[in-house]
Amino acid sequence: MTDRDLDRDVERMHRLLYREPADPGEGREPAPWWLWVLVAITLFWGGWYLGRYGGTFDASAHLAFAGPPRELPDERVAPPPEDLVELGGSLYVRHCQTCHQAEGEGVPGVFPPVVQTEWVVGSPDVLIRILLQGLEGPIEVAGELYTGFMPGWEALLTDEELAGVATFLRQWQENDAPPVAPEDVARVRAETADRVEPWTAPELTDPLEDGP
Amino acid sequence: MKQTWLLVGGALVVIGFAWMVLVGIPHTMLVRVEAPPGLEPYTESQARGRTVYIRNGCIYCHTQQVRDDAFTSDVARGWGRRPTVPADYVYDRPHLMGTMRTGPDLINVGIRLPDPEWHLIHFYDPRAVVEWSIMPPYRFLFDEVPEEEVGPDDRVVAIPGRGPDEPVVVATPDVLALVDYLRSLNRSYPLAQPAGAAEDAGIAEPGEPAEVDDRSGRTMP
Amino acid sequence: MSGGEARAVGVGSALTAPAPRPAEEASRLPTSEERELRLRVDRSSRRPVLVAFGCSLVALLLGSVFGLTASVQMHSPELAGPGWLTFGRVRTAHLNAMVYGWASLAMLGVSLWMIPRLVHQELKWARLAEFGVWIWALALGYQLVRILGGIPSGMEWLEIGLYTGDTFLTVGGGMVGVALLRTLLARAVPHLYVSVWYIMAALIWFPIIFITGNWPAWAGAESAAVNWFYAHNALGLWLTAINVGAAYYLIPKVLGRPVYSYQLSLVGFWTLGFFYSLNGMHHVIGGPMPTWMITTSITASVLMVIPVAAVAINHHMTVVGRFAALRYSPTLRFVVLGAMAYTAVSLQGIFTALREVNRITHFTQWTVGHAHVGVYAFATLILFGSIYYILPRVLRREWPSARLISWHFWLVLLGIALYVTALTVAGVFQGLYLMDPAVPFRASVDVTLAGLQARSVAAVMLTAGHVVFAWHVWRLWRRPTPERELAPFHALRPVVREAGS
Repeated sequence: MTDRDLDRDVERMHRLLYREPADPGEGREPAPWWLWVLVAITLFWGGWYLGRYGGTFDASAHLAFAGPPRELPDERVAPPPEDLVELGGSLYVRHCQTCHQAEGEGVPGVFPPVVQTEWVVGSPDVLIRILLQGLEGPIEVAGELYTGFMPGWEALLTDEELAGVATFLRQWQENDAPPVAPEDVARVRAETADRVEPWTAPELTDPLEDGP
Repeated sequence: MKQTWLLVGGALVVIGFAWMVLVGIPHTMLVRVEAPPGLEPYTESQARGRTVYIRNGCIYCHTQQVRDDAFTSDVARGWGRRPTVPADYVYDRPHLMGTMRTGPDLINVGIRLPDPEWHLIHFYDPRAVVEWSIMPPYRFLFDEVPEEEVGPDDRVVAIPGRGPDEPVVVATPDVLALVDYLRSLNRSYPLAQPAGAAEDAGIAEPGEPAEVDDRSGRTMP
Repeated sequence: MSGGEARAVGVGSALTAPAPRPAEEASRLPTSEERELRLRVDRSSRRPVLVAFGCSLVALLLGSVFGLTASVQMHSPELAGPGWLTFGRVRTAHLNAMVYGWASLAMLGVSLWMIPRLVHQELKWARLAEFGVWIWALALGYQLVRILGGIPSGMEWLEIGLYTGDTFLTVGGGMVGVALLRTLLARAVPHLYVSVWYIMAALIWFPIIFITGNWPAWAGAESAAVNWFYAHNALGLWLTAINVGAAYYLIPKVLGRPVYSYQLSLVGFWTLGFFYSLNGMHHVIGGPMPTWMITTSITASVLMVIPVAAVAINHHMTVVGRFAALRYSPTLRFVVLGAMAYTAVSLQGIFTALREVNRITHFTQWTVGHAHVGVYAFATLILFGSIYYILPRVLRREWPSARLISWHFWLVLLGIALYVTALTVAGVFQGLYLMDPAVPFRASVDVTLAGLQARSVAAVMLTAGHVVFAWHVWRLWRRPTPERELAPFHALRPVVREAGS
């Protein structure tokens, strides 16, 4: 490295430092007046909000936001059950489709289909029982054997809703069976009030043998 | 500021206050929360499943909480019969409440999807049962074994659409434990009072222990 | 050094002689004593700063690859790999590489350079600090491998293993903190500049929240409370504090004018510490958490308006009238945009903490977009700006190429803009669909897909920007240094005078 190069480097190094102004100082400007207004408003609001929604000073959850008068947001209201099939269809999408699939075809060998099977279009009482308490163990559907576990819906769905699901299923696709009324569901629900565990297929083939 | 101690001391006071408010005081309240009668501790297998759940980062797409039905639709959507409360989580170390609903909430999945077979197929190939799912397949939780080498204790999973010539799919203990854990997720048992009662009563007035009791899910002697 | 690339870029500022307000002390050229002091101070922090920046860049590249992989996997789940490449783990590796690797290590580097500069004192116990940075970086590297092998711990932002990770990060970070505290106590200035407050407070706050968050004693709802106490403060009292501190230094420094108002600095600093630290429970609004905790956090979130407005006014009034300087100084460009993003992300955060908004945006991609405005558009842009300013000074050479800086800037700026837009829009629709029980869940998944795909495009742009940046740093590093042949600096002053004459 020649002296000339050295000088250039030194020069560059110093340019870097010359270019850099002294460390920043701090201005003495006052904060704008409207900031203090903002501070006052937000602090006031904060005090009100804490008082209004603070709930109780313990471990209780979900206390404060449900105060009266309590208006339900529109979207929480269930769809009007005027049309049982429509109601049942929307419930099917939400609760049943995960296993029985979008067209009701099921998954071969794993989840039985709900179209073109006697279990659905046969006795309404059998279908209602399956919907209410569920089904467990081997079952033959449309000529194929399935061994699965279907949960019951008695605690989650109302008579109206279950009637909707049942009617929807019985009239879906190629299915063509008479509708199920909410009263039917209510009756079967009462008959099976003591039943906790899911049904098995043999029990359901002759529902009369398993009366309440 | 000219004094170092003012800066250091002030910083300590600030964080100390927040620590007391959000960690210290809640601790004194939350350690006293007891499990509701309907909540069972995790079995060994479920606890193992919970570890598998953590190890594979399930919490980044699934929550485990039902929010207040006063202003969310969590209950209406069918993810639980009531909002969950602190008492529902006393056996959870750590909590897995989650922050994301790329997939559905799971705190009550045990009631919704009780069929182990469904879970096993779904873990191996989510789109075999839920066509539109964007959940990744967890094939590394399964072994592929030639049919003749399947042992008597192996849990063979019938994957739809698999040809007879292909090796069969056998669930590992990890995924079986995970399914066991998921099937145990059920926070539908009643609390000391039904959760709906307090809603009708509106805001609990201080000095109404029954009300308070209900919403925290704490069981009082 | 090839001729075409030798064009030196104005790093700190091309404005050697800014047109100052006459009374402005800061705008004068430095005296020779000041220059000497700077050289001495920069030399003292050189090694730890370089180690920190070097490791942080490795983490940035790794984290980008993890992020891109996770992003693609999310809309194309069939690309799932073996266990170590599954979405949950890759996503977690991305977060940890970016937060604890890239951002935190770069922030340690910035602190190690800036504090000695601000207190006019050489970095004390520099060896200790350097060792601390190494411990942090190596422990984190090991933890990233562990995360890919199966996430060791189940809370967000706290995934690192307790004994093999958290302990080492605490010790390593503590060593850096101790060295900086020692330097602060040996300071040669009577007054502590506002950046010192932020940086030193962050170094005090971080170990407290980090140990609290990782303490293995919490269960149930309490562990959720501690989880979000930590995770929110990791943003508020760690990432935010150091980066706001850096902006407070770099903006007036580059412009050569004082920061607008000392009063605003005071208000902004203390209210930030007081309100931000109480924000955490707004991550569980409506959740199974004592009502009063959630309400406290919502209230504190809204009160964040005060520090945010104070800092925004202070920064804005410092820059105002000199926005043209953004064209000449890459540092200023990155830092000013980062400071604007800070205001934006804070206001968005306040908005999101409102119950009526949160019921929709909670649990959706909106939150991911919001997090990236914070950690990327705010923190990362300021860190880029800081590195553009600091590296030439500790290495004593200029950035080789203005074009590469330009590429880096536009790639990451457009990338993050696309990223945030895509996820925010997707998140709003996802939230509205989730909130309507009549809409099947499927709709909330399908509606995000376009946004997720756009996010992958953004991830490619960001990753490309990071590669450009890393390549530029590598070129800077490989440039011949003038230093080694030089005699002690003071002997050279006459040479300069000759050269200038």
